[in-house]
Amino acid sequence: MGTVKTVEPQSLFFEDFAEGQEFSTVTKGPMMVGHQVRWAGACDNYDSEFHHDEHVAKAQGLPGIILSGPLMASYLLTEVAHWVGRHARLLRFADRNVGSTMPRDTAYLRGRVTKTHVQDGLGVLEIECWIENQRGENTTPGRAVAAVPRRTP
Amino acid sequence: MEIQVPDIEKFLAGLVGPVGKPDTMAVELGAVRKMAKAVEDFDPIHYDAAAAIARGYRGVVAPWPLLWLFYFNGTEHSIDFPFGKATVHGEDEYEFHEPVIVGDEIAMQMVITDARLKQGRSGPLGIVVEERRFTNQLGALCAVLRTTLIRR
Repeated sequence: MGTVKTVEPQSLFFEDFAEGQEFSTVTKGPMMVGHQVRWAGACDNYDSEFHHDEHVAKAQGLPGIILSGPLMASYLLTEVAHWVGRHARLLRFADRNVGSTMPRDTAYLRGRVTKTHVQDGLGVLEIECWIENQRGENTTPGRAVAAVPRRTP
Repeated sequence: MEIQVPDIEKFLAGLVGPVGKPDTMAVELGAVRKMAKAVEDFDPIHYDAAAAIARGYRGVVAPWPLLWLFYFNGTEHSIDFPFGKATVHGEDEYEFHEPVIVGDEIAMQMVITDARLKQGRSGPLGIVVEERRFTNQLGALCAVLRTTLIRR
């Protein structure tokens, strides 16, 4: 596995979650251009120069480099998948890019369970999630649905 | 002369429908690892076949953000809007079905499902919804990604 130190998500079941439950905040950053460049490499996409070149960003009227919305949403999606544990399957995820993340910003990934119910014998969690920056601004509101097995079906 | 609202509406309505033919891409271990590292997903199912199989998968599992590799490398497509100054990536909706596994061949088909004019605070906004469906070599639907673009 090379130099990657892996971490298995927790073993959790439907009974481990409750409506209103908040997940542990995950902090990313300070975000740097390197994060964006690594994302561009993983997507094999370097088309939007304003994502990695400050000169181009400012020439386009932006305050500076803006990190990719799908990159930030992917961090959030990844944490949701970890919050619900290794037995769960993510069914849906949605996000809106309502605020920018710039180099040296810190991203706080937060989430809570809004609804729990059982469907066809499987536990279902509805989740509200979002990214807040160091100024308390919600840059990326999101929501997700995950199926989680019951401990006692 | 500035383009008039009826012409904008006609242009947007003309966008709706399939875009190009399905593109197919092989899911490579290196690409999966690179994406998992980029989004800081260190779940062993994205790195190690034995760990993934022990969790019930067919092999090393692609993290869902790998859909963006297909997104950016599929059908060459851009919309030449006859109005507005900038196009913004507004929101995304994902549906997840069959996991994407290293060695799969993923076909992506894109369709514009909605394109309309909306009155924003600073003037008219073009709203375009692109839907990409990802299917594996077994014919199973893996994911659907709906992206809303805003032209202003």
